[in-house]
Amino acid sequence: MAEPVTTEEKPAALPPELAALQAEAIALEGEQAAPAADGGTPGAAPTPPIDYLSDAKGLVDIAAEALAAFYPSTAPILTTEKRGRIAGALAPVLEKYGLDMASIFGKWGAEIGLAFACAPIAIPIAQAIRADRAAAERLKIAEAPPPPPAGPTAATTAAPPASDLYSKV
Amino acid sequence: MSLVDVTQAADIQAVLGASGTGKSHYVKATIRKDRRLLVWDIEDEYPDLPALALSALPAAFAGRRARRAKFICAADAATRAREFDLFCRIAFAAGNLRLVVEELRFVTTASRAPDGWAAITLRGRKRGIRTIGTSQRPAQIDKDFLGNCTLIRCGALEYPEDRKAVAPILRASLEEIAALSGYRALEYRRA
Repeated sequence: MAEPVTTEEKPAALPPELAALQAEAIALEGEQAAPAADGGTPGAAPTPPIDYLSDAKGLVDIAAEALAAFYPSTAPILTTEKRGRIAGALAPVLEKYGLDMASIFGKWGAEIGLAFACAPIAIPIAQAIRADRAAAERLKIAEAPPPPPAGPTAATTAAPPASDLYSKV
Repeated sequence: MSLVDVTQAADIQAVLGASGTGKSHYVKATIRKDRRLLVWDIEDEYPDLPALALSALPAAFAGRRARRAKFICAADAATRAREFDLFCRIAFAAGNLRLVVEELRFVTTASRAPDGWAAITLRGRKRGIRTIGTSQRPAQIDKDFLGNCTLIRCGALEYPEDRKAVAPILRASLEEIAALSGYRALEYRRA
């Protein structure tokens, strides 16, 4: 359990600079305490700030490992260093949108679980469907009647009679 | 008596390294004997120190009496930023103390630092402030601080951009930094 935070310390007189800073601190603490009146918990142990970099690293690792499970050739490409670089770029984005691992998995945990359950069978199913379609196409071509023999086309019809050719002369 | 003393030697330390490279161990050993100590604590890593509210710090550190305390900052970034500026200004006004700031990347960026922190790094020496700042990501923290350090201690760093940021101020090659592992660290002490 976190120890209580001490707020009582009253010396005889503070130098003006420190006294002004103390007043500023009291005002800041007053602002922070204000939401507690609406149901917050004043005096509760402060929670540590969110480490977006660690969260980004965790997300990149999960994604890289999931990808490698389907496409093993990607594993040597996504090295620790490259994952680190991606995580370094992803962290400010997570911070910008206020997304951390806890909120991502808290909000979309069920959907992510569903995706992980379905993903391993999604690719074989897609491949099976593609194979069945290709087989059906081959069968259709084999059973189709032979095309009629080629006849003369409009472009190869006989030349107009000579009278037509010279009618305007 | 004036708080300003231009004859005091600068003591500004950067303790850098990825998680688990011995930063906390080094800092705790360094501050063990400091009579006046104020710590900006993020995850309550200093259980032996009493936690004081911001409003209690000015009175606690007024004068020159011995005092060791920590302040545990808020979780949300906006409040934390305001707290940090005020915390630094209180430390600067109190003077003559060892100041420890845990994980600078939560409160500074490479190009921006709150006024209070800037005062500590640029003018703290004259107030007798001996500063230690730690970070896992030196590429993302205040460059003025790194540039003013009298001692830089660097353990293993995970990201190439961090190694690049540290190499010139550590006077070390990228290969030397990349070769660090476990608790091994490089130190550069400015003359």
